Amino acid sequence: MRILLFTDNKSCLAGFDTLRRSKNHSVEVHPRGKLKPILEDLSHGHFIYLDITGLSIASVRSRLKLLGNSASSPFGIVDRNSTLKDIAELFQRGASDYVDGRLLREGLTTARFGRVVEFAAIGAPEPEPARIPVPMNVYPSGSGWDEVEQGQEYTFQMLYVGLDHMKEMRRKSSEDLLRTIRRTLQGILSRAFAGVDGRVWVWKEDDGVLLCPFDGERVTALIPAVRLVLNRVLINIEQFSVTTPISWRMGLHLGNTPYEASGETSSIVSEDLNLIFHLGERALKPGQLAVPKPQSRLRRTK
Amino acid sequence: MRVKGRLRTLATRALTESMEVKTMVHVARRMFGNYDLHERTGFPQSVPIPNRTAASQIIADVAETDLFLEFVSLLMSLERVGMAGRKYKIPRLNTIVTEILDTGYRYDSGSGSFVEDRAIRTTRNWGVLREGENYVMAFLGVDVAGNSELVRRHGQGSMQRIYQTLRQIVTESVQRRNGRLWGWEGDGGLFAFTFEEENQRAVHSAVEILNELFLYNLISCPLPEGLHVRLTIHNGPCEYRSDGTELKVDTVKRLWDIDSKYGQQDSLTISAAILPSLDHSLSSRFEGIRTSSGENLYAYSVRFA
Repeated sequence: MRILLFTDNKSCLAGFDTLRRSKNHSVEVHPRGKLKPILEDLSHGHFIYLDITGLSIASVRSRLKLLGNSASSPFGIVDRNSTLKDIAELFQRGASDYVDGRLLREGLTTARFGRVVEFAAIGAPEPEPARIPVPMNVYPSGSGWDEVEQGQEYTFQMLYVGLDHMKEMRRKSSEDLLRTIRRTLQGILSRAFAGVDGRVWVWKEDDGVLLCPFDGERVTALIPAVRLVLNRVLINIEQFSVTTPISWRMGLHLGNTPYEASGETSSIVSEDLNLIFHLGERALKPGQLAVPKPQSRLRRTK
Repeated sequence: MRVKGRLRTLATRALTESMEVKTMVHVARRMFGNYDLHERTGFPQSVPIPNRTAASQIIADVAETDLFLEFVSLLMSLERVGMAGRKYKIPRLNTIVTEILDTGYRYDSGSGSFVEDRAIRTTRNWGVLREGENYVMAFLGVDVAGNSELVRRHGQGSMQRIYQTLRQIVTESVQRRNGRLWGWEGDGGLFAFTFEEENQRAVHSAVEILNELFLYNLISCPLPEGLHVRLTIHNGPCEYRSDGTELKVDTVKRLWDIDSKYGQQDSLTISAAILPSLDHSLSSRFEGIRTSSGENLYAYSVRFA
């Protein structure tokens, strides 16, 4: 974590030596007068220490107010001469740490700082390790398609997409209209997943699988898939020029498959590909987006 | 639109070769109301005006009064629909239209007029609204709920960055549906829609914005309490002013009145005139709002089921 120390006395820095040397943290020193302008431009993921040594209680309170009003960074107070009488007031005003002269001389440890961050409730949103049901053997395809080679096996994000109510649609609609609906849906999918490098890969008559590269950690296809569900009514009005509402179901899965270019996939043997088609055709309900349980937790990514 | 010499020449030839002077005057009167060609050209009333001179004068007049695009739209209508029961074949019309399209306009068949192509250019008046003229427009108002409290709690700097993101989300959705940003003040703004299906496009934008903000709050909004907005749509006449004073017209005042009295956070509120223009699959998702005045208002919101 990036630690910003606002002090007019460089000797204060010695207490932060351990944190400075830690590969997980960095410490930047700024004069106290720069607190306000820096705070205004600060994004998330920082921790601020303000040295209040020598300041009057009124000055301390005005700075606490400034720090408390900033949603972007939690903060702690350094009080080298231990002059503050009501330390609890600091915490009541939003501080997450108090460092007095003795503690500063001993030096702040990374373990202690870890607890401070946890207390400030900003450590928690640090990305958790991905808890995604992944195949036994993971062969990440990378964050894009550059390193994906034909004939090689990779782990991809596989999104099954199937048009609903097709039996009824086939009875009521011309083959031309059905072709248009299938083509329109494929176009919608291509545009919706373009931002995460998604490709409509295998397409049978009324359903298919879209592949997105998998870097071993992030399930990037989830948000565009949720967006497709949220905007289903709008998509029907604006993009399908038919009076019957068009519905589609989706299932997201992480699976292994040998990669072949789209259109050359007939000889592929992949258990995961079979599984996702099986799930899509048999288990998904109309209009549903299904994801394996741990994957369905939308994690805050700030 | 500045009409270049080549386009003027093409239009003059097209007019010269497609109709006689008397018809040209009828066409010009459709544009200007009263139009005295003799007075414009300086020819005495008793002297007939040559075809070419008449056409050249009319084209010069429509170009100078910024009516060239409307005039070409009228020529297209003469060719397709006709005038007084007769259709006119206008030579070179395709070339003229192609040249106009090349300068960054597209033909909107619904309204029968040229509007700017937003892939090339996006201006406040779509390149065609005329100063002081009245248009029927739909307005979308975006207002952050509890702005003062948010700024007090999180600071001006943090909120400015978040509002910048909000503006981006809203503008993208609106511009995708050919709407225009007409005013943005810190925590919210006003967006305008006109030409065909303006009500539908405004509502579709608003629904998409609510959906996007739902996702934004879920995955990337830095505020623990999330960002909540009130969206309002109202339509009505608006006299266009390039200096922005049209933001004070009654239609816009009424919109902010609805927003302040009946707007709910994370919701879109629309006035009664908007609802019938929506597709049933969307209008059925709106719920009526009780108002003290008995006025019919409807609300749409995104909620966890």
